[in-house]
Amino acid sequence: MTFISPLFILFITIVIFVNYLLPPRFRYVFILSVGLVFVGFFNIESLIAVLLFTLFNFYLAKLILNNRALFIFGLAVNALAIILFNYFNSTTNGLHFSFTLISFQIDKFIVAFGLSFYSMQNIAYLTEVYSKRMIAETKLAKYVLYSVFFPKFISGPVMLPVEFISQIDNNVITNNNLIRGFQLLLLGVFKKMVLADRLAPGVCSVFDYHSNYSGLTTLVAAYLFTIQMYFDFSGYTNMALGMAEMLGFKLKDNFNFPLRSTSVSEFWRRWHISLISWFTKYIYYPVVFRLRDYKKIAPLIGILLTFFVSMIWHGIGFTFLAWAVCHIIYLCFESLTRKARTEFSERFNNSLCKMLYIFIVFNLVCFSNIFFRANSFDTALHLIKTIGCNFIPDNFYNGLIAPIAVGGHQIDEFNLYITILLSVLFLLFERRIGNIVSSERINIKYIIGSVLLIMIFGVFNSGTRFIYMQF
Amino acid sequence: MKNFYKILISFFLLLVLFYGLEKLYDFALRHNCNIKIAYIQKEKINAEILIHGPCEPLWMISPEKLDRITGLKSYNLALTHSDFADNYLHLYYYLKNNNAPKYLFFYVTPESMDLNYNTFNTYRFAPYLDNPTVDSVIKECDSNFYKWVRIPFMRYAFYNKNINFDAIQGMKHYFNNRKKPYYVNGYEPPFQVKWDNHLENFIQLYPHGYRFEWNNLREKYLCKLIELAKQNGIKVYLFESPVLKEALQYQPNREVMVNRIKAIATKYGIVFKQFDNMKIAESREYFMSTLNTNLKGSRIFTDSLGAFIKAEIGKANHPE
Amino acid sequence: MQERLQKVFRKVFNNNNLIITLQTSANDIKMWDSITHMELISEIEVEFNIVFSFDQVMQFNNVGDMLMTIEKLSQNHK
Repeated sequence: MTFISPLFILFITIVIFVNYLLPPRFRYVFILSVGLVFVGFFNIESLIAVLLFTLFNFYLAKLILNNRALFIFGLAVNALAIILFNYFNSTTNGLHFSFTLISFQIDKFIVAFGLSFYSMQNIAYLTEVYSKRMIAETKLAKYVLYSVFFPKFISGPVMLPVEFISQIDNNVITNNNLIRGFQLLLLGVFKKMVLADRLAPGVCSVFDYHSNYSGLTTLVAAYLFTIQMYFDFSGYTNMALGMAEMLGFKLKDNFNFPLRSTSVSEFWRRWHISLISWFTKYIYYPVVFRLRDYKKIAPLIGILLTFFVSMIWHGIGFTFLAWAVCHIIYLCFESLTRKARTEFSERFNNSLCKMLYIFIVFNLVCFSNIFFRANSFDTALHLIKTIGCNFIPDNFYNGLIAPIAVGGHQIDEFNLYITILLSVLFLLFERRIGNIVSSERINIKYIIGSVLLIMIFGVFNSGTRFIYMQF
Repeated sequence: MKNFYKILISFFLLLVLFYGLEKLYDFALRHNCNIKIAYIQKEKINAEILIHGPCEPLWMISPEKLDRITGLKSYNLALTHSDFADNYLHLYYYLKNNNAPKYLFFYVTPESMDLNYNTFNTYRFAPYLDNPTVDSVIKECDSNFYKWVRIPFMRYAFYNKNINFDAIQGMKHYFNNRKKPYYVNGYEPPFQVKWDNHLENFIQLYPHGYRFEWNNLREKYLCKLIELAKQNGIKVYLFESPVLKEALQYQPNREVMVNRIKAIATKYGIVFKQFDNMKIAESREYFMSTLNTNLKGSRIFTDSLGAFIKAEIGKANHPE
Repeated sequence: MQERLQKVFRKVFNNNNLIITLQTSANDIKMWDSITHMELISEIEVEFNIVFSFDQVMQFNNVGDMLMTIEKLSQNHK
């Protein structure tokens, strides 16, 4: 079952409806039970694991005040959980690439991925309590709800306890919440089904079934992959936020038009915001604070360590290492040249220059993503070599269009052009669409337009019909 | 209240739009003469020999060539990556509108019995869901799709990637009053002239070889197809074109599968002709992939097939 | 004291025209991000001859918070 299946749609509709009708005091118990059913539905072992960890963290938090040893112990257990689940996934499936791309394939290891996010929340919780920035939660039910709130369970956003638990008591669902939540949910579905899923096969065909493609093909595939990942993940986030809003909760947004960043540092402030905030707050700041006397070195070491941890969290493999190294280099360079770059950008400040910066940053990110997406380090190197040595394809049609269109017929070309057209148009009008969605009025044109586009162009059966041994 | 009306309006507008779109796609897909299942319902082809199967016969066997050798009119009903259920429905619709041919040459290999090869292309039959035969086949072969079908337009939305282009082309054919497909006698010449690394990729995926898995649903529809043909008085032949010898070492249970196919042929009292001793099987020069011959190899194979058919026709006319 | 703080800000962010108010926060200054934040903290410590604790730094939401903590720590010194 995928997220977008009749069963799930029915499930969501009923949950939202019932929740709306319930008096506010009982809502959190209802959503809590729904969350437990949701996790347990896929895999009863995951449910047990989740409950065990929840209980462990809840009771530990009450004891760690002023007890450093217990605090470290708690951190270690949760960190171990992350490593264990990541390792478990890469051995059972041999997959290297990120959970974010397969977050829709509800399978037992996906709930284990959810446990990665979930463990990070627990670490945040313990740290906040230990640093006395927060009081340990007294109601077990509220803490469990925070952990198992199903819109955010699988892939975040990572919420700090204080941000979420305070909303449990003041749960209010107005008509505006329902409208905005629904329109947001629709946006997420659109991004996922019409944009991300249409881009996926072309990306797969170059990265997974590569032959001797030219550099241009690799480059275009890298571009498309970055865009695909953006649509996939931000679409998922929209859906999570939309569902949460319809249940009366406001979750943190994860994306702030990251592809319009004019520097890599800015990119990391706009991409996967909740996760990066977690890394910034719990790894970067503590490290750099302790080293703050070493003015120039401190940020570099901070960046190094933060990305090292981020790399381990994403997955274990040389490709992730290379990806992390790319970003470490980019960020260190930016940190060291900060003054010069600010002066430069102040002098060259018109929109053409801005587009140039955006283009450069986009290329840097896409380059690092070649490592992120490739199935092995050798594949990645091979692909990068083609960019250097064999850039122009011999035959423009067979070398560039056909692989990305996954086929050499007119119909494949047609589909590819539609995909690219839709993606480009969407990226250009993203802000305006975002404004429509977040306004609290029902926009009939938007709703009809998106549903139409989803039905006419959306991908309803990703992957199940793809047969390599075709013919 | 205003919101409530807005929601109601949106909902009804969407229903109406989708209902209209469904009818439009229906119409367009029935008018696209490049779509075989639409074409065979409109045009009286009335061939005497039918070539049928997935992409191998589609790309290998030219009816024009065959006609010259056999002296009879032939038509290539084959379609890319179609499994037996797909083939069955195409034969069913062909027979609805055309005289039953004298002979049916149907391509069967171990690959066709395995779910990893070919597929049931539901989207081809979406416009014909009101037909009970089509309905029952789809229900059995693509239940995922079937459960959505009652929602307006869903039958086309579900596989829209395969359909949008065809629908537009269908409208174009309608407005241009086009009656003949691009490939008039059904045959599509192979678009690749030389080897496409198929075997290398195969070995990469299955370094220890690939064991075919016999699928019962496939067998069921193979039998249904043979029965349908026999019911219409058609003489059925099963055949297999040359397989690149180099690939055989990676298919350890090929013989086992072939024997099971032979058993089915025996059960129905029909011939399963394997062209497994042709010289072209030894060299990649004649192949695009392990099963598909290229233009050069196809010509040679079609000559052999034609000779075989001619001999069979001779036997039929002068039984001794 | 706000003047001295403003001087530090101007130095770290390399902008001699920068004006800070009690409400100024990271959202208002383009160059103020997590990477420059620690450098800022370090410079403030040097300027006012104080040492922040990690928790104090984490509580800063805007310039106003910083000033309050700076005052408190400076008084402790005396």
